[in-house]
Amino acid sequence: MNEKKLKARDFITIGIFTAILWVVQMVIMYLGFLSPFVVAGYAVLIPIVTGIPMMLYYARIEKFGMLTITSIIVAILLFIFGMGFLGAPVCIAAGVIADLIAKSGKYKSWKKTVISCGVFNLWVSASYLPLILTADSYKQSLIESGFDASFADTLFTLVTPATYPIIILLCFVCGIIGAFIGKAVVRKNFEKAGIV
Amino acid sequence: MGNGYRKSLNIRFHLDPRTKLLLLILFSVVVMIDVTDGPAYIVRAIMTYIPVVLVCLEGKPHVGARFTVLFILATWLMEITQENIGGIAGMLILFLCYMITQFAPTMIMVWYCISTTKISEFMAAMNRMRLPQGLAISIAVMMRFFPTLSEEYRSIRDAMRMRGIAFGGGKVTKMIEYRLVPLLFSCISIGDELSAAAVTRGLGTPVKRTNVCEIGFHSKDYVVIAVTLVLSILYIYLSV
Repeated sequence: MNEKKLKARDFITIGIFTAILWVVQMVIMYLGFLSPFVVAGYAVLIPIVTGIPMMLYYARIEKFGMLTITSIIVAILLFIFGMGFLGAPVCIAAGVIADLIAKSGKYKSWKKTVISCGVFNLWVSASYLPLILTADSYKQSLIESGFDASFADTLFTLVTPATYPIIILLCFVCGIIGAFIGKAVVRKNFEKAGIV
Repeated sequence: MGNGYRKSLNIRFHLDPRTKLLLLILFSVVVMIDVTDGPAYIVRAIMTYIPVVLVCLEGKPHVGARFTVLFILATWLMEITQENIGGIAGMLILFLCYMITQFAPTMIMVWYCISTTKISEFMAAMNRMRLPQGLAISIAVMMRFFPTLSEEYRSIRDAMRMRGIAFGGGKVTKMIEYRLVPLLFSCISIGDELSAAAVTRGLGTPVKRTNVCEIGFHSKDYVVIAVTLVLSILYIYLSV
């Protein structure tokens, strides 16, 4: 059998890390329920916090396809939760490109891993897409349900088509920061224990 | 084995995994279109109760009841806030209630799908749909892992409480580290055990796997699909 092909063990790793990734981001999402301003903070919070599991995940990736499958599953989950109808293709594209970048470093090069992690985190920006494209009707329904018009406006000053490039950039940069933090945590805790 | 399995199927109101998948897709479309009043909202409220009824029929009425209380509470609080409480506090409460009522249908639907589908049933359904096996295995492992994660998290929290670490000394970074790192440790060891067990049972062999689960569409599947489909179409028609 081809060595490059994914085996049952790899699929189990994919499942586990995707579950962790999704649970961490769900916890952050629930924080967003408390205050609309946290919603704008997703682009910073999610990439940085998921940096830790992601770096552990990268340490276990040796073959092409694992990141791609993760991004496909994340896209499916985004779709189910009603955020990813438009974001799903972006999410999968980010995953494939991240996978290709990491592959060019043979999944060992630290520099390529950092860039790949930044690109992978672009999926977070994909979950903003429906919010931006349907901003008007969304705002309308917020106002209808009793919100102040001014409050709804402040909510949308942070997330608008104009600020969207900044959000994308933030996702990428925070993904890279998350990679460094994750690496530090992995070095501090997991390498000592001999797991990585 | 086969007999006991079939018996357990007959007792509960059991749907085909593919029916659940279709319901999930329809619900995610409905959640994307937000409506706060008018006839469309009534349709939406009715649809919200489809998964609740299904959960109750699966023999978990307490979950259905808890959800109903939450949903009614959120709706009620929203009305109270609209009339009486203003300012930032009122807005924040409104936002919370708004999010609950908007996303509740999907939340309960996802909970229903994950908690009532056996992994082998899911695999059988994925095989029937000719999904690549790798993707199916990954998703199956992930589904199996959600309950494990919450279980592990609970033990970690208990262990921390025993040592008197409640909130990581008030530091956010410590709070995250103290929870995430032990969780990752246990996940990795569970993952290794899982792979060993799976390989022993022949997962990943090139032959076609068989499955004892007999899945198929029955009359109840058609009824549930028809009801949800009609309501979804009505909802989209009313809201657009």
